[in-house]
Amino acid sequence: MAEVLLENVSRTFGGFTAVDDVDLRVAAGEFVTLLGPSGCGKTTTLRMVAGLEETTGGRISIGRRVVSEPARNIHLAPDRRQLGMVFQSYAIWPHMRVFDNVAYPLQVRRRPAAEIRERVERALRLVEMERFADRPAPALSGGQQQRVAIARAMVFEPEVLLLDEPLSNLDARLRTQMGDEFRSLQKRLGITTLYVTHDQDEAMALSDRIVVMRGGRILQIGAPTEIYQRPNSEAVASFLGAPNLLDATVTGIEATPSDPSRFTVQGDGWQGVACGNQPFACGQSVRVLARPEDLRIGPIASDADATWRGEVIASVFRGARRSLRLRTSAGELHFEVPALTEARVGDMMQIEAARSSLWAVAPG
Amino acid sequence: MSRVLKWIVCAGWLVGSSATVSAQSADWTAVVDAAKKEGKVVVYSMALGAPYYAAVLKSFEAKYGIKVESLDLRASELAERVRTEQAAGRFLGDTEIITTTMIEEQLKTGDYVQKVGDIPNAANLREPFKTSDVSVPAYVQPMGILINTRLVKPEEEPKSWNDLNDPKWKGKILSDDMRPLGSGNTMFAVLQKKMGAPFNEQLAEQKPVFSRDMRNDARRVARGEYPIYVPQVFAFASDLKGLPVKVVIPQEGAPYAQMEFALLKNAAHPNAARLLINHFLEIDSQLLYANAWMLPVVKGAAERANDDAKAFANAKLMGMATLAERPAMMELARKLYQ
Amino acid sequence: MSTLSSNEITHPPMRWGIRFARLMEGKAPRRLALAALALLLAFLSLYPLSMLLYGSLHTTPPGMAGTFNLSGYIQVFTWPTAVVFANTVGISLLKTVFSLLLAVLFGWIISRTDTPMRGSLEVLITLPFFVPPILTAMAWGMLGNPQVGVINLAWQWLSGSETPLVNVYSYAGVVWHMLQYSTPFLFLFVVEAFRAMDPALEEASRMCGASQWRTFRRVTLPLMLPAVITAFLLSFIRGLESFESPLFFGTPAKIEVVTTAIYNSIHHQSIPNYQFASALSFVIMGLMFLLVIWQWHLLRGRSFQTVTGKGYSPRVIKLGPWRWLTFAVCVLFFIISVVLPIGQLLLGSFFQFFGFYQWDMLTLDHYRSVLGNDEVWRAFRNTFLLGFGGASATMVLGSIVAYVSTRTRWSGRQLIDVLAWLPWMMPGMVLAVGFLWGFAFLPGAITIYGTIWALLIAYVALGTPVSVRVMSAAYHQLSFDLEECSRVHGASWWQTLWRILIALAWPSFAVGWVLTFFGIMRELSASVLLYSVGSEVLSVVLLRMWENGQAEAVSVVGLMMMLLVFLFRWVQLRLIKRYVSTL
Ligand SMILES: Nc1ncnc2c1ncn2[C@@H]1O[C@H](COP(=O)(O)OP(=O)(O)O)[C@@H](O)[C@H]1O
Ligand SMILES: [Mg+2]
Repeated sequence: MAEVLLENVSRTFGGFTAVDDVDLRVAAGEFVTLLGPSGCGKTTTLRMVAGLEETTGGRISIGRRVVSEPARNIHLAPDRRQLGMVFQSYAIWPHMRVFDNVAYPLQVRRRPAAEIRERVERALRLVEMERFADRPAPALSGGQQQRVAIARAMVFEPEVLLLDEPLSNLDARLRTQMGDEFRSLQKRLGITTLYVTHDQDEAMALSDRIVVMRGGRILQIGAPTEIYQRPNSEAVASFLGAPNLLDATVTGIEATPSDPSRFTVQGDGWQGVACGNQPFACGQSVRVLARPEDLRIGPIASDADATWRGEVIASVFRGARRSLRLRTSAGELHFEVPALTEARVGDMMQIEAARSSLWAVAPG
Repeated sequence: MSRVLKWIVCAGWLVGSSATVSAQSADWTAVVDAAKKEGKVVVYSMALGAPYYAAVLKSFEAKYGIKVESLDLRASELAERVRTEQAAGRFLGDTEIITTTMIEEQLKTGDYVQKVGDIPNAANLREPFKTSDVSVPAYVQPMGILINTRLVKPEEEPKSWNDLNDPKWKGKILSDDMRPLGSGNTMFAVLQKKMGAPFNEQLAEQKPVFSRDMRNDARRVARGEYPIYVPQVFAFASDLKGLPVKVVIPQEGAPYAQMEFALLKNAAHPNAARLLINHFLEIDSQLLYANAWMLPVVKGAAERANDDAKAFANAKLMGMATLAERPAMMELARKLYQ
Repeated sequence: MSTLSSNEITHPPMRWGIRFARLMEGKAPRRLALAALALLLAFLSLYPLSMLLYGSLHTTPPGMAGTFNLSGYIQVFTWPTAVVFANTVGISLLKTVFSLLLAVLFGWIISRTDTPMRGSLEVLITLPFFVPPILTAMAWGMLGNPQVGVINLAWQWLSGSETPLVNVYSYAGVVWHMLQYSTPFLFLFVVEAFRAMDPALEEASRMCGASQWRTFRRVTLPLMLPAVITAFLLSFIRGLESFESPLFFGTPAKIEVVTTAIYNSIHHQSIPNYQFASALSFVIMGLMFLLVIWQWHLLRGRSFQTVTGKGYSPRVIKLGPWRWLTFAVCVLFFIISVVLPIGQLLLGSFFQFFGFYQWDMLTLDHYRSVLGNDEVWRAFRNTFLLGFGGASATMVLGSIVAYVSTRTRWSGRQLIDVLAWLPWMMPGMVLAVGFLWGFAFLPGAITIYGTIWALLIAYVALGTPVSVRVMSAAYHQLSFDLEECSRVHGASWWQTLWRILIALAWPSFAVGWVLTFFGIMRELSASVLLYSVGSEVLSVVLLRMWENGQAEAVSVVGLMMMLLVFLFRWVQLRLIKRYVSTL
């Protein structure tokens, strides 16, 4: 298995920079997801790795081979990069049967017929589509087409697999199921995988590491938990989940250095302790991130990092959980409580943040 | 005494001329030998695969064992191919059979043809045909008036070109377009000269309907669309036997187009070409043309023509269009037939 | 994140072989290929055109002493020529609009409705296109002349009227005759576009509450825009260059168009006036160019990709009893445009002369003379050889050019597109002269002139515009994913072109092939100027027969050609059916 290395990669269309100075290393066997809102340059990045899009700057290497480097006039054609790819539209060739679709990567590599048959069967079995080998490709449901696309991408055991929003055309239930199946398959085969999605749940469930992008730039790279719990910017923080973001000022830094550091912060009508890994100074304004699932009706614990009081202005039953919205002096806060909690609009209540759950980031 | 002298002179002349004849035939034998060595001759022709033309070529091949390659083209295409090839230095053709005026034009605009030299059979040419330095007459296409015998009663049949201007034919004459170069304009030009300007002016008043496809037009007359068609090339009616049409040769005579041979410059097979020209002037060859209702150019062919062809083979000729008058004639036709 | 570096990536020392390999990994191969393509197209179109440009600016044709001047162009901008222009544009516009309407109607009926016997109708509707125009012109002359035309006689007999019903020797006659050719031509384009479209797009519109007609107007038609506009342009331009119809039906009515003016100036002048003919052609070309630019403008930046990787199944609209009406419409067109004229020819071919149906003139002589004529067979063989080779080469070239111009963002692709358009915009009669000059004046060592290659090259040049248009219209409908997916999975550019693009667009490929094949079969202007002894082609032989008054023999050959078309189309449609049924 090969690693993929992007160094200062950028891509401009005319005057518009779609991908700006991206640095990324995908280790061999790793599952890395590019995550970001639509139009942030994920697809462009992926296509540059595939060789479908030319780079206008930087260098891309796959394994030990430089595949794109405009400065040295290198641009390896896509067919010579030995990749597997799953397209958002699946790109199932409508004029071929399922078998021919999957066999295609082997046929163009002029493998012997017997080998092709065997490997196609194996690939189809892997995605549980062996019964459909003779079906005309267009006569498949979305989920089936997706499996065929995956089988096709993996049939010649590529070093690197690229996937562009492969699940976005499926319904919610199938999406979860296919995602899980794919992840276990990927782990089993240990294929280096670069995955593109705008769906954070999908990204977090599948990835070893997530690359959060916006406006063509990488905001943060890290494991799902790290990205989620320790975002390095307000943008990252707000993109994952639907957090509360509160204005505050740093009033003190905890003496014993730890990772992360702990700061005392002071907001509008509240004060508390927030973690952070940026070197904030006293008096600096920060944004404090409070995830809805970390807030609870208090007081429960003595070591809560902060407390707020306010009036319930919305209460929505969601089955497993109940979402509440509270108007406080610090602004509106939303959070989740067990479904059976009694909370009516107009009730006054106090809420608190679990210990070490608040996270401070620089505003902006 | 003077009588004796006369006899002596005559005898001497006879001996002398027979000597030149034998000298000439010795020359000609050399030509024939050289032609056979050349083995092939390339002709550019406007005949477009006419059966009598093909028959002449076939008899030539059979007689001499020399292969004939004939490239059939329409007039302007032929001229342009010859011109282009010569200008580009690709001398692919040996000889051409084209109208007299086209040869005149070639002589005027460039250096495309060479001297033909003596052609023995040219001595047998009929009046008014004669060779020039660079051309030898090949055959003649006279034209007359075509009538539909169902629509034109025998007593109404035009006898003279003037009869076309009878008011009863107003709007009923189909004609080859007289404005552009072609048979229509040839007729226009010859009639202008021989019948006088008023004739053409009156004809224009008859509002003839113009068309551009002579072969189909004759059939349109046969089918009864129009009672009269001018000008009808005799030969083009020879294969309409069985249809209710008849070709009238007006008493004033028939305008005609004359086809002539010329030898192309830098011909690769000049001797074979000259042999072919000579073969074309054989009575047997000309007879094929006469039987196709054309006018043979040598003596002795018209007499042997089939009965139905005799009249055409001996038709009175009226004249042909000349290169010098052509622009004026085309201009005039354009003016009369706006 | 740790800092990244590429130190771990090995950089082998540069040796020559590696440098070359590096070169091949860059853009060099593509640039080379593109340059080769541009050169090839330039030779096919720019080179003969440059000869003509010289001809239009020089008092004499190439190879003759003369001077440069603008008299050819000055002659173009005169009042009589303006009238000729107006006639030409008016006639072509009329016939294009009408035939486009008909073609869209038929395309829709054949590909989208449950009209009975659609397969047979499809073959029948396209038949008129493949008949030599000279034959149908003659047949329509027999049917529609005001004096003794069959239609008029029948009308007068039925109605007791004295005045004729129709007169083909008129504007309407010219338009009508052209219509019979452009309708099938446009139909061939449109029907494939209909077929290639995902019905889901239409269904979506129906689901939104739009009526059938509204759906057709708002969704179906706009999606087919590239195909329809391309077809419109091709047909309009072809209309400007149409020759037989105005010659036959316009001349007697004193209607002159550009082609007849050119014909006069080349074939019926004391000295062929190539300067005027080519100047006139270039002016037309300039006008057409504006049209092409307008087309680019219309299609620019819009996506018409209706064939996606998600697959679809074509579905037909159930018309209920109305399907008999649509059936009747198709049959009516077939009867008027094929049965009437071709029936006339077929019937006529068994009599000694056309139009004289007498028992004693009944004969098989025409068939005997054609079938027993070595020249005809040799011409058939030559034409087939050239047709197969030429059509295949043309389609391959067209597929590549269309690919470059519609599916890449390579710089220089517009140039290639333009180069491929050019020959279409030059009237055939004039372009043929360009080829003659071009081939003859090549350096002496390059002996294309006078060989069969000259014909082949000219045919490829003449056919490329259509093949490019056909293939571009087809490519326009294919989503990029399908192709990129192939590249990523290891297929080279060539493999992708063949196995994905052409394979997907192959109904269009086949249609283009047939169009090109029969285009070659019919081409006369260039053939007659470029053929050499031994390489006679069918059109030259037909010309000979025609000029020898063997109209009946010509129609026998024409009927044989139709039989061939029948066969071709039948096989082709069988194959398309098989292909469609796998969808
Ligand atoms: N071929 C192109 N020409 C111009 N702009 C493009 C092109 N492809 C993508 N872009 C722009 O680049 C940006 C990034 O696109 P993309 O990578 O597709 O985003 P996403 O993250 O949604 O996959 C978008 O703003 C898009 O409009
Ligand atoms: Mg995307």
